Amino acid sequence: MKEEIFDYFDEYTEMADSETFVTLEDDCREQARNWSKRINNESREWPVYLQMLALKGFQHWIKQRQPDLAIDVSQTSVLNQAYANVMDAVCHCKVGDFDVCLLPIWGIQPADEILLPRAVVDLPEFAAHFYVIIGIDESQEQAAIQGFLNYDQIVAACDSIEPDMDWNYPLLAEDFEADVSNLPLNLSCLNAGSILLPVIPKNRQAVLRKFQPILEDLLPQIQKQPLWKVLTWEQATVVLTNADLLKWLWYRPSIAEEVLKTACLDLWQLVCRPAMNVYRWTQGQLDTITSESNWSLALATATRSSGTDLDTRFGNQCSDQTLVSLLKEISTDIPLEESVNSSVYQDIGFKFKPVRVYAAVWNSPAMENTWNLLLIAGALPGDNPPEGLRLRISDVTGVLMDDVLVTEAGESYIYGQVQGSFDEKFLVTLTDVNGEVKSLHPFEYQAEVSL
Amino acid sequence: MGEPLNYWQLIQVDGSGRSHCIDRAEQENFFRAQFPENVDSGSVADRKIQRQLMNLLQGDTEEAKQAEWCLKCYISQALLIACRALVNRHGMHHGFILEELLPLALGGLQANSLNRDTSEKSGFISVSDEVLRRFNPEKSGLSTWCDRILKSNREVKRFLLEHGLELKTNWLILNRASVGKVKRVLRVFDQTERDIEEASDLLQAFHKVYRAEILEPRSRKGGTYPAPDTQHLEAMARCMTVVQGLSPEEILEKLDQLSIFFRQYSVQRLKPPLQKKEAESGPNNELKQLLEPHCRPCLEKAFQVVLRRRIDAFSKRDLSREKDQKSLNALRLFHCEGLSLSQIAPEISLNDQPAVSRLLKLKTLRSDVKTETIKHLKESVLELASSFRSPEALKQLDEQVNASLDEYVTDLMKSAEKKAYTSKKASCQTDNLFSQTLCNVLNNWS
Repeated sequence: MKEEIFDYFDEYTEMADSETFVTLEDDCREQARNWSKRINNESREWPVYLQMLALKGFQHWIKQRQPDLAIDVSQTSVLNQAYANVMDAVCHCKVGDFDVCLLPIWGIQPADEILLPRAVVDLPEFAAHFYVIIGIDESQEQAAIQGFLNYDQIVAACDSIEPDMDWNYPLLAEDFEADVSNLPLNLSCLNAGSILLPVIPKNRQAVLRKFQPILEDLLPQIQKQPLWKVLTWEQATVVLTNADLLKWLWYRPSIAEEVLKTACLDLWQLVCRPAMNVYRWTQGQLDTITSESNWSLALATATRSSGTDLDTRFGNQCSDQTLVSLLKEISTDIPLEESVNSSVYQDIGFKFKPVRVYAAVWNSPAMENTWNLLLIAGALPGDNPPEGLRLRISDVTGVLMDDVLVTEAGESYIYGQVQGSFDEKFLVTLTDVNGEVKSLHPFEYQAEVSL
Repeated sequence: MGEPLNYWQLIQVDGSGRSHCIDRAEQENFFRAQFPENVDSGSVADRKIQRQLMNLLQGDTEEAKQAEWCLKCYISQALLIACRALVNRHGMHHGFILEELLPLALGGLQANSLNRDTSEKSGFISVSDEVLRRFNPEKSGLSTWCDRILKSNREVKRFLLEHGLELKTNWLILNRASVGKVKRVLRVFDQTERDIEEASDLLQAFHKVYRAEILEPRSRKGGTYPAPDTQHLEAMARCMTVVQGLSPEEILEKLDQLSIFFRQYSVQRLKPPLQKKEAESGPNNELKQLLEPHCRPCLEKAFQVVLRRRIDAFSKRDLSREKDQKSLNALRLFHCEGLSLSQIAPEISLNDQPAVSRLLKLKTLRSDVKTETIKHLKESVLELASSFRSPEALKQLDEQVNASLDEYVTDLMKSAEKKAYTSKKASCQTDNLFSQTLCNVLNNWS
C-alpha cells in the first residue's frame, strides 16, 4: 500500500510558465489569514484565505504588467463577509471599465479541471467580463496567473456541461486561454462595450415572494453548512441575489435559538415589504410608502422655517408633551433642529387603546454614511400611558431591541434608537398588552434617490 | 534483501557535481562486527538492520556515531538511485542533468567532516539529515523514505520547478477536489451510492484537517506542504461520520484510492491535443501600409515605458542596482551584440543559461511591449481616423484595428523570438524592428 503512494509521488506535472508567477508578500499571507478568521465560519476560512491571496496576487500582477490600469477591489465579494460566506470566487474586482472574476485554486501547478461556481456565470449579479484562474502556493510565496476566458467564452464552455451537485461547472483548464499576457492587453485596449454582460431580471422581488414560504422554513436550518446541502438551485438563486438574506445567513449562527423565530419573522418583513425612504423626510417630504401608511410630518411645512422657538412651533400639534421635550429628555446628543424637522408621526389603532408613534431621523456628524432612527411610542394626547406596550426593532441580523412600557416604573412612553449604514434597513414592531401586533413598513435611507 | 556494502560505501559529490563512491573502512569493520551473519551470506535484511541501526543511534556513544554513518552510507546510495531515476525520466525533456541534481541531494555528506555543527549553525539541513531525522523503520524501508524526502525537499522542489516540473501529490489533488467531484467521478467508475457517500465524508474530513494545518500560522514558513502525519490521519478518522473508527493506515489507503480515481478520471477526460491552427492570413496589407509609419515610434515609446517600469520595479524593491545593470547588460548583449544566452551567462557572472533567461524574462518583455505598442498605435491611428469618421464608424474601426494590430505586432514579435532562440551568430539581429528599436532605446539609456 505504501509503495503505491510513493509511486504516485513520482508523478510530475508540467509547470506553467514561470513568467506568470507573482510573489506574494509576507504580510498579505498574514492579512489573508486574519481576514479568513473573521468570517467566523471554520469551513469558510480556507476558501476566503485563498481568495484573499488570489486578490493580492492579481493586484500585484496587474500593477507589474499594466501599471496604468486602475484596480478597485472595494466592491469585491471577498471583502464583504455576507458574500464571502457563500461565494467560491472573487467577484466584482474592477479593472478599468471591466469586471473581473478571480478563480483561486490551490497550488501553482496547472490544474486539469477548474471548478467554476455556477453563481458567477448563471447569475447576472455576479457575471464578469473576464474570469481568471489564479494558482496559490503560499509555501513558495507565489501566485500564478494561469489562464482566462471572457464572459462569452465561459458561457460557451459551460453550455454543454452539467453542473456538479455542489453547483460547480467542472471546466477543463485547457479550455482557458493560457497566454495570460493577452489579459492586460484586453483590459487596456478593449472597449468595455465589446463584451456584453447579461441584465439582471426585473422579477427578482416577485420570485422572492413566490419562494418565501419554503425559504422561511429552510433558511433557519442553515447553520454553517453550504447552501447546496439544504437548498435547490432555484431556491438558492433567490438567496444569492438578495443581499439581506445573505447577510442574515452570515449572522444566523450568532442568533440565539430562543429569538430565532422572531428574527425570521422580522427578516421576511424586511426583505419582502416595501420600505419607507426616510431620506425624503430629512428633505421635509414624504415618499409614497410613508404617506400611504398614514404617517404625517410632525412639523407642518409652513412652520418649518426656523426663527421661532421650536417648542412654540411644535406645541400646537401635541397638547400633552411636545416631541421636543421628549427628545431633550431622551438624549442631549440628538441634534434637535435636524431631528424635529424630519420627524413623522402616526396614530396606530390598537383595538384596546390607540397609541401615537413618532419617528425621527438624523445623520451623525461624526460618522459618515450613517443615519439614526429614533422611535417613540406613547399615549394619544390626553390619554393614559399604554401599559404593557412592547416596542421591537430588528434589522436583517436579528432583533436589536425589545422593550416593554411599565407605567408602574413611572414610564409614560417607550422609545428605541438605532444607528445604521446607508444599506441597512430597520423593522419596527409594536405589540399591545393584549398581544395585538402591528409591524410598520421597514425604514431605509436612500440618499441617492433624486427628488 | 540488499547488499551489505551499501552500509559502508559512501556516495559523495565533488565540485563539478560528479559522484564518487568511497569505501569507509571504519564503518565496514563496525558493520561486520555488528551483523556478521548478514555479511557472510552476502545479502542483508534491510528492514531489520535499519531498525537495529536506528536503535543504536540513541545516545552519544561511539556506536551511535558508527551507526549514523552506516545509515548515511545507505542513504547516499538510495539518494543517488532516486536522482538517477528522476534524471532518466525527466532530465532530457526538461533540460537538467545528474550533475546538477546531485549536489542538492548529497550536499552535506562530506566524508571528512561530521558537519553537524556547521549545518546547525547555518540552519541548512541536508537531505540526508532530514531523512535520518524523520525515518521511522516501523513504517517503511529507508530507500522509500529517501525518495520521498528528496522529492519534498525545498531546494530540490525549487530546482525542478525552475525546470518546469512539479510534483503532483495526492494532497494537491485531494485538496483541489470537491464533494460534487467525488460524486461525478466515482459514478464514472461505477461505485455504489454508499461508496460515494463514504468517499465524500472522507474528503470533507481531509479538507477540514489538512486545511486547518496549512492555515495554522506556525506552519512552515517558506517550507513545503507535507503529507499528513499520523495525528492528522487520526483527526480525519474522528471527523468522519459515515464510517467510524478507521485506523490511520485505513484512512491513508482510502485517501490514496480516492486520488487514484481522480487521476484516472483526469486522464480519461483529457481531450486529444488539437492541431494548432496557424494564423490563416497575414496582416491585412492595406492596414499594414496605414500602420507602417506609426509602428516604429510606437514601438520605441513602448520599449521606453516597459523598460522604465522594470527598472522602477527593481529600485522600488530596493534590490541592488547591480541587478538592474545586469538586466540591462543582458538585454544589450542579447539584442544588440547578438550573443546567445549561454554566451551571456559568464559576461554578467551568472551560472547558466536558465539564470539568464529568468533575468531577461523575454516572454514577459515581449508581451508587455506588444500591449504598450498596441495602446500607442491605437491612439495615433484613431487620431488620424477621427477627423473623417462618424462615431459609429470609429467604433468599428477601433475593433478592426484592435484585431489586426494584435496580429500584426504578434507577427513582428514572433520573428524576433525565432531569432532569439536560433541565432548564435553575432550582430545578425539588427534587421528586425524589435531588436533595432530595443537597441536604440538601450543605447540612449546609458
